[in-house]
Amino acid sequence: MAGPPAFPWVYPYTEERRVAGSEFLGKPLLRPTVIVRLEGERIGSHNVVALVDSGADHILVAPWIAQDIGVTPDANRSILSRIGGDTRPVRFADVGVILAPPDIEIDAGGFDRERSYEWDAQVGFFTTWASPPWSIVLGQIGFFDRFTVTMNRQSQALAITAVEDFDDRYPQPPRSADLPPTRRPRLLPP
Amino acid sequence: MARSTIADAQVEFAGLWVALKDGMVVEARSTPYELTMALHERDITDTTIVRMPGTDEPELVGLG
Repeated sequence: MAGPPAFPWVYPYTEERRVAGSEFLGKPLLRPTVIVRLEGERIGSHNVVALVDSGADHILVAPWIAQDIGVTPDANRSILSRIGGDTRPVRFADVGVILAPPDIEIDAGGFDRERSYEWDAQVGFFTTWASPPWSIVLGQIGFFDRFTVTMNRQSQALAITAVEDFDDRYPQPPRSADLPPTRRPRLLPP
Repeated sequence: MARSTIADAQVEFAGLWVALKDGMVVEARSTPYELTMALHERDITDTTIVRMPGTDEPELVGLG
């Protein structure tokens, strides 16, 4: 068994066409995306383009995916979320997350589980937002706590490396000898 | 590194949910439910699903 390729996994940004009338901006609209599948009672039948969003606290998922993977989000694990200009209920469920390596291109399709990286996460499913702009948003808990995620607009790419990589790169740089920066205690994924 | 793009397909399929496979759009529908049902009926699996934003839609700058 070959297993997943070694890190780093470097994903090119995905380009969207800009809205009409915004040509003056002069630069392309680029989104940090990866390709994932979720697994509940069954594995998703298709790849899904997921937005990597450092500002989201959770993995958030469109309801059509709950149906596709046979998951009923837990009514007892529910929050209200302010998202997409509205307040929306989000119910959580424990699912498997399967991240495709970067050589799987968006328009290619295909799936090779042995070459993917997978883990379990508690993810939030919208219950009333049938058609959000992104079917999966990968946020801090469940994604950013699994990896070191580096985004670089100049390179138009995001890189995923081992979660310890951040501390290896930035080992407590002091602001001054008598004023070290404080860092929160380490939070490890369950 | 060549960036990935949905910009070309976005022209033809603006506002639709599309399934991509082997370098082309193999199905496009108005909702993800219609899309997955159409794919199921055609016995197509292992596509990549994404919504194509319309070029007349406001630019998404954050989901919050």
